[in-house]
Amino acid sequence: MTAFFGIFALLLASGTPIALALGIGGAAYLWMSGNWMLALALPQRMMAGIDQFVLLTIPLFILAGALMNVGGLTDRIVVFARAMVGHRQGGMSSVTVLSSGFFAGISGSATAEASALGSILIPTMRRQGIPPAYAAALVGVSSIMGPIIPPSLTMIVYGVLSGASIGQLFIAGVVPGILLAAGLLIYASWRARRDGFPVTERMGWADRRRATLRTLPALILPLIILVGIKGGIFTTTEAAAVAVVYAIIVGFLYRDLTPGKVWEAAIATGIASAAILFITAVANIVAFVFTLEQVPTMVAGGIASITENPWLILLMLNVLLLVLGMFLEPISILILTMPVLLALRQLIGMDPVQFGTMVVLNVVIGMATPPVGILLFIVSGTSQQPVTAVIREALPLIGIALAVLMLIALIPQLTLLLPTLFPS
Amino acid sequence: MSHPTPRPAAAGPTPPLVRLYRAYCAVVRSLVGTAMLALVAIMMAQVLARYVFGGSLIWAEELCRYILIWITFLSLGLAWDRGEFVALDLLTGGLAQAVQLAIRTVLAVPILWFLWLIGSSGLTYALRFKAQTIPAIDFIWTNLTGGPAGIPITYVYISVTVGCALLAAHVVAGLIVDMIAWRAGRQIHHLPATAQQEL
Repeated sequence: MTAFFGIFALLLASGTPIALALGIGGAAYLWMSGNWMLALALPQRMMAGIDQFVLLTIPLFILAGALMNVGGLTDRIVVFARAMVGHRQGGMSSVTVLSSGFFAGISGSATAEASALGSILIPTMRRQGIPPAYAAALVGVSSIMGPIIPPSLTMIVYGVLSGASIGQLFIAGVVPGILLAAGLLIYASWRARRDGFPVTERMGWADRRRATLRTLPALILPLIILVGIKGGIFTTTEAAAVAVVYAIIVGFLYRDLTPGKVWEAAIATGIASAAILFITAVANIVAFVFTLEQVPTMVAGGIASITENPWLILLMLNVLLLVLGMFLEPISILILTMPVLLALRQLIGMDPVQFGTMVVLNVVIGMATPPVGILLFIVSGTSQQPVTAVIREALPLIGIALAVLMLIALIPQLTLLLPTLFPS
Repeated sequence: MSHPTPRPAAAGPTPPLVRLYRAYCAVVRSLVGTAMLALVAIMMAQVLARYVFGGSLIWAEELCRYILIWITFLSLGLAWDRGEFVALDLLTGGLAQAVQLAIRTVLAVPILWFLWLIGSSGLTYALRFKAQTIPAIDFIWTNLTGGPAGIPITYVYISVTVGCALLAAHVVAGLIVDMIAWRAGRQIHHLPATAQQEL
């Protein structure tokens, strides 16, 4: 097993894409461990990893978000957030956090959120005299709300792998999402006061009403998804298709969408989803190798032998996930660790929905932590700031996200109140 | 933002290879776009069938899964060109271009080995299922014409091999194009491996 991790680490450090580093490591391990005849099973394992109906939600939710974005809803969300908080203490930085929260309701992916909002908000903040590295960090870390506030691609994958209800996970993410937004808002206004960032002009009530009306479709979408799934009107996969059609109808009603834009968004989405699904497929190879070697049993047994204290196990589990999150992206972490996660969940007796929300938040925070924090790389590219400068500014914001993680690990009500109020 | 456009800044008439590349991109893009919209249409038909006609399309789920598999493997090459593959370039990103190129050349060896392994065993795997037909298409075909279409599921499984071959071609082509650019003293059009979604 050391050989696998050695090869994987070497490939990763030299710049091999994660998906291929995983695959090469897994295949090489199979070869070295004398199980080479199993290589013929690898394509079948890859296929099994993506041949799942509910994974259709990935391209469909990405497409819905992309259509809303090219349909101009991102701009309108920003205007709406400005109308609400732009004139208050935090100015544009509060607008950024709030926009991220609203955008999270139409997008299930943190990367899509960071690129869509970053291109609008980072230049705006910079023009206001807000340091670009801080502006970039704020967009990057705020984007982790994308997979926490429903819909969420990461929660879908978690649900597929663990058998937890995706509808329950979605609704459980609402409160943690709001907590994240609140924490980041408080930091943003404190920072704005300390450094004297300007506020934007207060908008008149007529403008505010107009901004609200024009943003309403984006604000309603998460409700449609939640009510539709929870109410048993459609399945999660169908909800994603409904979201796409809704985005198309809204886009044409507001005259922002053209058939050409829909076509381009469909192509771009297909290509972006391919990369995600390929990682899903390849991670399945490694999961297969791990199972052959009984790694999950060993890790779970190892942790259980150190302590039986559920809090300590919980702490170790979260640290383990955070460390993995520094090097891998969420979906491969979930596929690789799921057997261990499920064993540990039973050991500490935590509710599956609370556990799932905690794990998802944990691995998503990994997207904003160095060295492989993809969100930081995206915003560093958008803002033309060195990634090290962005990392420095991101640290306190990551601290806030970790505080929220701790809260939802310790207080079950934060995740379970809404799911119990609205049972399936 | 990056586009899957040919990288050499060629003056004069378009070289045949570039034309070929463009044609290939156009074909894959049309297939992917059509497949995506087909997914949406089938899923909506599924919802409508249940609420309006009170029945369910029993073939919808299966067909959608196969379409998704094909979208994934068919797009791998273009996804590579667009830098959609997440990688860690913190350590290598600052090195001299020649060193970066050298590292990428070395890394291409295990990458191609892996793609060959998966592609060739994928082919063996797919060919084992020549006798098994796709139920969803048989069902639709029987309704339309009265007889099964008899398309073997090999045509779904072979997507793995096609995907690996395309990805391998893109890995090699990208490297060659960058080497030519480097020899000509041009800045390498290095795609940062962060997801560059124009979404």
